[in-house]
Amino acid sequence: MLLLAGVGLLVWMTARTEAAEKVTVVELLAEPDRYRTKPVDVYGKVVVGSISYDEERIVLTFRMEDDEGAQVAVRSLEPKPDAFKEEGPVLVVGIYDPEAERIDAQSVKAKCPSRYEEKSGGAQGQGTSRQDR
Amino acid sequence: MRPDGAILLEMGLATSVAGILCGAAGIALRRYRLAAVARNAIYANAFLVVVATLVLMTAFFEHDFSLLYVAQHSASDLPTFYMVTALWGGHAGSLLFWLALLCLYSTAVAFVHRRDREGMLLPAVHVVLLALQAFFLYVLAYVEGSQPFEPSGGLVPEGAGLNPLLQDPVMAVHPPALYLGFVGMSVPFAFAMGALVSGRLGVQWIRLSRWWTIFGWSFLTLGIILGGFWAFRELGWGGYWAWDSVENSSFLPWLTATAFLHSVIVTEKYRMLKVWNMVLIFLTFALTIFGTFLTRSGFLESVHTFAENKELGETFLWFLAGWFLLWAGLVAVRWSRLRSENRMDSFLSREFAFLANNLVLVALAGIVWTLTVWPSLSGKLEHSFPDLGIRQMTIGPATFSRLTAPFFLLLLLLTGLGTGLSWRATSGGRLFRAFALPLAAGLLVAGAFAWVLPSIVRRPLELGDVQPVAAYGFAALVLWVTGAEFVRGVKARRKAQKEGLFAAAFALYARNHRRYGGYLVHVGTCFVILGITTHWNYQVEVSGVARRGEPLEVAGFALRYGGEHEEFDRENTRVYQATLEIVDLRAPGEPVLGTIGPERLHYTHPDQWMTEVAYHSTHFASSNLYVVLAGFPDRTKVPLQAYFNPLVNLIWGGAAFFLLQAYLLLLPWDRIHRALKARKLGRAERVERRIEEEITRRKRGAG
Repeated sequence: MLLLAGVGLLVWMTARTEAAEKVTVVELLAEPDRYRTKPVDVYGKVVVGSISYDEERIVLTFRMEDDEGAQVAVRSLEPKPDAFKEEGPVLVVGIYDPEAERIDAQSVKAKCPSRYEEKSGGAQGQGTSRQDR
Repeated sequence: MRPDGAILLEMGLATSVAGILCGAAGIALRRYRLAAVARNAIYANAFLVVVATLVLMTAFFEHDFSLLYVAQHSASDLPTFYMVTALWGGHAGSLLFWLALLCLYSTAVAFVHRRDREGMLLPAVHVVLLALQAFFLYVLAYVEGSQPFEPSGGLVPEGAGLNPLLQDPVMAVHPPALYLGFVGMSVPFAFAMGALVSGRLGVQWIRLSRWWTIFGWSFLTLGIILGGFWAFRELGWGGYWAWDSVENSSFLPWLTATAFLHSVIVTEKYRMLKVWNMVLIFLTFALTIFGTFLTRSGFLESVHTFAENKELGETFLWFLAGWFLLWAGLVAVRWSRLRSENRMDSFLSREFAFLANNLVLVALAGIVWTLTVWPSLSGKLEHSFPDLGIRQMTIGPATFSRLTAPFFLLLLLLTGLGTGLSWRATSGGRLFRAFALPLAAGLLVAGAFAWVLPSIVRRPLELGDVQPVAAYGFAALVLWVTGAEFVRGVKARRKAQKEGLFAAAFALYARNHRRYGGYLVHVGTCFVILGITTHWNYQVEVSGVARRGEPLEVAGFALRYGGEHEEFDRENTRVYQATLEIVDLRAPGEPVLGTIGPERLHYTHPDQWMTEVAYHSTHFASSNLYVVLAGFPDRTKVPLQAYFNPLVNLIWGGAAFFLLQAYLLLLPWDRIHRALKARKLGRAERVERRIEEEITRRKRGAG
């Protein structure tokens, strides 16, 4: 029991300080200052025509949109993930910069809709191209 | 004409149910002949399921896109080799593959132990295995989205193709190895449940299931290592383990199975930790099922997950809950007979070190499990209990590594201490003899490492580098204590049996292969931990552009680009490749170490881009320089992502040694040793007889 309590406490303390909060774009934009210092985990789709990839400096910028249509800009200093494409689902973990109005991504996971099979019910399947550290 | 796979699966389900009913009745009535129906049902199921699997494989080879699964996971231009891997490329096929392995395992168990008489233990084992088969047969036959023989329902001219990530030779081995490990854990679980049902709670169930446990555990290890190796060479992010939820779900049963392998040694020796063994083997089994639940239920998102299937997720959870209730009920009923027959006498004993090692392994499993499920669990809590103020959180790989690293170090230390301590209690003199030199060696190696480190990792040592230095010190302790155990054993044999050095070493291993084989597995583990520690702490990552005349520098190496790039076709891909020279800027004369060609690949089925990593080994093949194309090359420049991975190859080398030793443990060393000894004795007898005959002949001649 002591062991379980110890493990639980350790994880709880870590989760409070280090975990990224899962938010929608709407939630992020509603309280931008709240997320100024803590990482956020945002899921959405890559907006068509918003991708810009500077191969020389390795800077990927794009806009992502959530289910409610709210959009936010994202900047990543990692190479573009293999499965990253317009309208493709994307998972971004990073810090929101309210002044620049964008998420500085620590990790961009591009989910490939064509990979694996369809979800039961006809929604898109999963499969992730990982570019995170 | 192919048989209908779906009907074969339904027949298998009916056979399982009949076998379970007859087996259970036979056990209850103590009628062996009736109970033996379960064994025959196992044989019949193996036939039905293997044929069903072959039917699906044939459909792949025939490009039969009238089957939905074949249409979703292959295309007519898919290379023949990957037709086989396509079998487990999706959810339904991989579940069928899982079932086929379970049936083969069950058949092997039933056949190997067909003459063992342990009351109703083996019939109970057969019934448990059949019950596991019945669950998977039910899912494959009736749960929507899990049926591998579902028709595509129309004319499908071309398949969607296999996920390009799976089009890699390692992927032909990684999933089968992992599945052999996962499914293999069902066997010791079946023996444990069989022991609980039949009341045969001595050590016999442990002895009978030992070989199967090591077999499954070895394959689980192989699967995990191959997964890491594949991620390293295929995914192009310079790492091998991202604490992805599905990676974790393979690691979790490994941790508890490793604890189980150690705790049963104490049970066999002193009849202790009986309940603990039951807990560990149930946890191991539950975690293997939990792993496949995670992959298939949509509970978590991961690079490995299949499509979301909530009905399937619930079915798996009910299945697990049912087994838990049965297991817990049986443990409660048998509680008095599961009590330890002995007590631990001293903290300074090997059994206490084993228990401590078990607690660390289980604590590690607890941490990894909690961090893995927390994102989903916190989300569900946020939705169900908004007043609690809990927000859904995701946890990054750095947190996993930071939290688990001290436990791995402790495990390494305990490995050394456990090997050096005596059973029951260790006297002061023995303690000094066992640890004085190893501790000194550990300190010495830690110091030497601190001195050598900058040249390996190509940067100066910092004050915060305590953890890798400690890891090297602890590893030296383990290696020294292990070496001392071998030396002591060989010396004792040479003295007692008058054997030569190699004969004594071989006999020592062969006669005590569990003990000494286990020590050698520890040696492999040391190297794996050293590789991971060094790589994790000192990896260098650089992103940038290499231009003609302006190389990209990473950790004192220059990546020199002369504009050489090409574009060509390879099988079902279009390849874009750049050629780079590697120059060691810190070696005298700045020599060119070699050339590498990182690639970008374009697959048409499905339409997808992939990167192909190129790497060059350095530091006597212990480390490597790892280069990924971050964009397309032209005549003047190439965008790159480059990594220097110090001592990363220690991981693969150590793991290969670990696995070799683990597989060697499966050989019948007692029989090998006896056979060799008999051969040697036979040869000596023949020589002796010939000498006697010669003496007799000469005597006669002289007479």
